Amino acid sequence: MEYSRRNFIKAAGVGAVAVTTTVSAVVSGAEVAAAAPKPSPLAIPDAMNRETNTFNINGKNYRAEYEARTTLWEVIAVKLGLTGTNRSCNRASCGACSVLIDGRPFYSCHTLAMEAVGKKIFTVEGLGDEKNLHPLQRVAHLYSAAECGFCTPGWEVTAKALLDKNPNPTVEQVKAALSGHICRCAAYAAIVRTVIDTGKVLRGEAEIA
Amino acid sequence: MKPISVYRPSSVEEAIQILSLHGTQAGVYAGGTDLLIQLKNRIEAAPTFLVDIKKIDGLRYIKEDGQGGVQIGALTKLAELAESDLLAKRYPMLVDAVQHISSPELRNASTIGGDMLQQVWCQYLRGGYSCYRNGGYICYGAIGDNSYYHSAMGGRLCYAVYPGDIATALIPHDAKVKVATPFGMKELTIEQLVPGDMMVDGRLQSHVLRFNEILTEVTIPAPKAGFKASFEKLRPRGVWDFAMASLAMGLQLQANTIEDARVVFGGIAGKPWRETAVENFLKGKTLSTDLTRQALAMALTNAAPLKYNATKIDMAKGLLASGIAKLAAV
Ligand SMILES: Cc1cc2nc3c(=O)[nH]c(=O)nc-3n(C[C@H](O)[C@H](O)[C@H](O)COP(=O)(O)OP(=O)(O)OC[C@H]3O[C@@H](n4cnc5c(N)ncnc54)[C@H](O)[C@@H]3O)c2cc1C
Ligand code: SF4
Ligand code: FES
Ligand code: FES
Repeated sequence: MEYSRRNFIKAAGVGAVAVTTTVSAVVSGAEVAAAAPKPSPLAIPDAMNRETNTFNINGKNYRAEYEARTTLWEVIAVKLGLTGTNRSCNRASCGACSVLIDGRPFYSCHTLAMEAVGKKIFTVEGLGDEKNLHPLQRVAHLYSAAECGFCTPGWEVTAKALLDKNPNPTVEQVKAALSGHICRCAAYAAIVRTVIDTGKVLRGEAEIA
Repeated sequence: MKPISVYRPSSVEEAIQILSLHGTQAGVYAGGTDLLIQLKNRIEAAPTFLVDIKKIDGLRYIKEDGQGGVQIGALTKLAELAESDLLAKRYPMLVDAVQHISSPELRNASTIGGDMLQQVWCQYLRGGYSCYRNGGYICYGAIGDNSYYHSAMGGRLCYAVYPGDIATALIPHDAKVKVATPFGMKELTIEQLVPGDMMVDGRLQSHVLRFNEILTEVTIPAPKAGFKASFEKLRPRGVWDFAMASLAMGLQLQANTIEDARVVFGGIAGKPWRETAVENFLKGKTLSTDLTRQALAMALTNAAPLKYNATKIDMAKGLLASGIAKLAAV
């Protein structure tokens, strides 16, 4: 066996493990005796620095290679070229980068790519395209709820998550659900009106003029 | 962002082994909402070997303990706490506090354990200054802009306020936490968990967990009949912002007489600040707004505001007045 630095570090872990055996005695009590022999310290898996995986975005599978520190936004917009989702603050403080993961809104700038593997990701591209806009987008257009448009892809997916769960939200519920979104053009009134009225369209109570 | 390596252990024991191997360079990675900001800002003290504990089964639950209390797994998301019918029925004050943390998207990601163990949000530390908490030998908060994130109740080395709302809201409920250590499990009260400004493993931190210890569960005992509680929080904006001052108050009433009281201020000191003078004053009194004036006179008499944050004390007292009014009205 070569005495590389790496082997030494791994072997040095033995001490730590000798102590940790007591944990299982407490944590899992009776199972300890029956359990398979403790994995040896050398069996500690290697850490992940970089890997390749499949991302399910808007129902389609994409493969991408990413680093441990790569965020979901970087995979979606930079690696895969789905540039609909905008990134603004990159500090979980504006909402522009929101996407849905398994139906719930998350800030994609503040979610590591590895966390979204194996889950259903939904971005604004899944909402509609130029030829086939989602009612949310058509009503938003009608009410000028997108001025510069930078915040739009973010709140639209969050609003879709809300309407999927509750097609008849009150103004208070819309404000609460969209509270994690900043619109620097301050189109707030139009945004809230858009979500309320899209609810009416989706429920078949109104039509888009 | 700082380059990182991620481990994904499948048991608490394995996670503790990995943490033990890397020492203070390793850190538990739960929801990551706090850690990612530290890593993006390249804070020297932020861990680079992350131990993602989300692959470990059985750390994410809200369940009854069979005696009227509730057990909450450390990885339970804040959104799950906010939406739980069980918690809303038994501990409405806790749910109220959780609903006022960060934003809906962040609550989908962050966990109850991470909220209690989060790093302080002092703008100097978060901006990468090398202060006491970041390997240096100076506190910029004590001498610089201390209007928002700094203690008005004194400090030792670090003057940052303890930012978490959940720990503050759990104290009136006499909650406890379970911690897995290399030597077995231990149980701590919330006040033991976050005593503020502690030197642990050569690092200054708000909580007492060592680098290789993992918080696994929060247990809340059954509320007794006649328990009333309220949570209030003042902040510049209704989302994202941390408390300038907050108050979690719990009163144990017999008819209308106060048998026991918990008055815990958040956002004004390096730890959730229990004001025992007011608690003792309230005991034995009949609950009504007549108590307000005397309670205020007794509150926070040992305040030690820094240059720019004396308003925190006024805010905290205002919250005490409205807290008493709120509980006297229901
Ligand atoms: C914009 C913004 C606004 C916020 N506003 C508020 C607010 O108003 N009130 C409030 O209370 N909080 C607020 N927060 C803090 C937020 O609630 C925390 O970041 C979050 O709860 C941390 O949880 P996490 O699971 O993401 O933790 P992580 O980021 O994964 O971890 C945080 C810390 O806890 C440690 N840790 C986590 N879980 C464990 C465990 N089980 N055992 C041992 N160590 C552990 C980690 O090692 C790390 O040091 C805000 C955060 C942001 C970004
Ligand atoms: S208050 Fe604490 S975190 Fe801020 S500069 Fe001082 S030592 Fe650093
Ligand atoms: S870019 Fe993600 S929240 Fe601002
Ligand atoms: S439309 Fe410009 S930021 Fe919202």
